[in-house]
Amino acid sequence: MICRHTETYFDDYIEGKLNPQDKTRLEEHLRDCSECREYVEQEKELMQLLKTVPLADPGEAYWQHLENSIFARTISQPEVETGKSEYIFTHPIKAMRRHILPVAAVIILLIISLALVESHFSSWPLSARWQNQKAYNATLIGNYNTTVLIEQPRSEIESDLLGSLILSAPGSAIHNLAVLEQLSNLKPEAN
Amino acid sequence: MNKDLEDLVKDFTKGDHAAFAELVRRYKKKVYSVAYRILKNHLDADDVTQEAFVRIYEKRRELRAVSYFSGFLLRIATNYSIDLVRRRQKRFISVEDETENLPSVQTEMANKIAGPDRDIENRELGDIIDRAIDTLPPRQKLAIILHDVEGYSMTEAAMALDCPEATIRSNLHIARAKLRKWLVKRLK
Repeated sequence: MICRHTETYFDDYIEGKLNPQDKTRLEEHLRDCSECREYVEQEKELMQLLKTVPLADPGEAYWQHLENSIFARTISQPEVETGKSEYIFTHPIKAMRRHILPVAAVIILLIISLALVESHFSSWPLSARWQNQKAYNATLIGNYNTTVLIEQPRSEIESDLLGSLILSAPGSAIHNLAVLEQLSNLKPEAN
Repeated sequence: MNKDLEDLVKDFTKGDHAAFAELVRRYKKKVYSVAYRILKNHLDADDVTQEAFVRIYEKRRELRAVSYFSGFLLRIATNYSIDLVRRRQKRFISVEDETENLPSVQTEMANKIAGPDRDIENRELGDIIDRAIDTLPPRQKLAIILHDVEGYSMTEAAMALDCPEATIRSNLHIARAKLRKWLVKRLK
């Protein structure tokens, strides 16, 4: 039976980690106590023996292959951020290039929608069109079926009203309708 | 590269690829050896070794202290090995608890080592010890493999197995006593 008060020092003693003072005291005890001495000798023997347990070496070619496999899965891979995201600076021109297609698509869609709106309004009954420098041909069709044909403004009011017509501009319909109604009222002979 | 371990690990945590390559070169055999001793299978040991380095590479920013490197690497390797063992439904056979007094193992082993065919005898003895280790319960087996066979410190073994050093010490004592009994019985 080994002595309890010395048991805790055995591992460090066998591994050579015991401080000189404790080592001297333990060795003094081991000289006097045959059971502890035998136990320490057996532990030493067993630990030495365990360190010699052979392991078949797979060979240098395998170690090289292992390194290459690890590197292929780590440092040869592009960085992938798994945690917090990092701010990445991009040059404005590069950023523009990256966004050029979507921006161009938006511009094209805008032009197409403007053209559609324009064609919609130009066929709308409340449009007014510039004929020439001297004459206006303002037409009301559809529900109103009214044409106001004025070659020469006959009065200042007529001239002002004709001048206020917004020509072929989207959104001008309500304004032009009001103008044409006023012109019609000024020209009772028009149909 | 002759950098010391502390500098290598510091550089590695900062993302230095050359430092990581050097750490792989220094530790690959140690990790493989631990994995092989637990799994007894080259393909599995290879899998564990690769996985351990890949995982430590991915978690390099989590290495708070340089001294944690080997313990952390060992922990990854042992945990993954244990997972593999569990997944493959391997079972450890416990040593029978023998109560009778047995003669000293010292002389039995000395007799085995001595003699002209020492290398062959040593290999045979190594195989016997290997089988004896295999009979230990998992925690004792891991403590013996890491500390006594592979030579890791108590601190590293404790970190690898995620337990206090006192637990490693106690597992080692119990395991050594069992091994001694088992070996004496077989080497008679």
